[in-house]
Amino acid sequence: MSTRQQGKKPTSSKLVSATHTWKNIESSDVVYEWFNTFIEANHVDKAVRQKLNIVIDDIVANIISYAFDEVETPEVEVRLELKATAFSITFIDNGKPFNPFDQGKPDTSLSITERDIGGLGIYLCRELTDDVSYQRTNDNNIVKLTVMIPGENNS
Amino acid sequence: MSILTSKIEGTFVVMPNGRLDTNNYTEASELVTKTIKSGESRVVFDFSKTDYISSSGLRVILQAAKLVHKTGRVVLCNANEQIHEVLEISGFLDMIKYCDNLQDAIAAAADIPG
Repeated sequence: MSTRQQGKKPTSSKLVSATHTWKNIESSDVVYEWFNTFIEANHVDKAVRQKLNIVIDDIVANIISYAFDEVETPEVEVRLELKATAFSITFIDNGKPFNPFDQGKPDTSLSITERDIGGLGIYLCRELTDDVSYQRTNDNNIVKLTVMIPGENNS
Repeated sequence: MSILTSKIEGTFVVMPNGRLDTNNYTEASELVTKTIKSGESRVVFDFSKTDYISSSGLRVILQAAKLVHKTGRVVLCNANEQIHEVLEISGFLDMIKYCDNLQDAIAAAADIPG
């Protein structure tokens, strides 16, 4: 499964980045489309791309559900930063203070009847990525997640 | 069409096409719930055409598993590496049967315990 795709790979010093802002966002789909355009142009490892697809879906859904109750013009900015060794994605929203990583770990050992439906999104994002951070700066929530890119020698 | 379905040997087979996330969560959830309420109790999620699932996808699977747990069974199959990882991290592989191929999954769905 880890067969490397042919094509350009960013060299170690090069950073490829993109930023986009959405106002009054209603679904993660617009971010998905934009992200996949970036992915296609930059030959990103498939596993890395799939992990970030999940991150986008769960983090954006979380922001839409919790952040904007009393916000007049909800805004979400997404930044992509691709290096040879890592891919970072940052979500910046102007919603109320909310650190998604404050949530406790769900109990994943329960049976079908005991398990709650939901509550897994942020946990998945944490487990699938290599580094996560949260900051509250200038009335914005800044959530950053990084996935390390498997290299030829260390996979 | 983001969710393909079929009935094979008495088992309802759900095949998410592309992805299973917030984008098609409502469609998938309504489809699976309606089908189970109409009497289907053997449900297989076949991920052979699925690129990734987010927590919304897990939600659809758990809903189905809860609905049929007394009368039938949910079985998962054909997950790619990433989907398999998601099923593992979430603990789903410990509570829901997983098979490597559709044929085994259909047989497992018919093999209802107790």
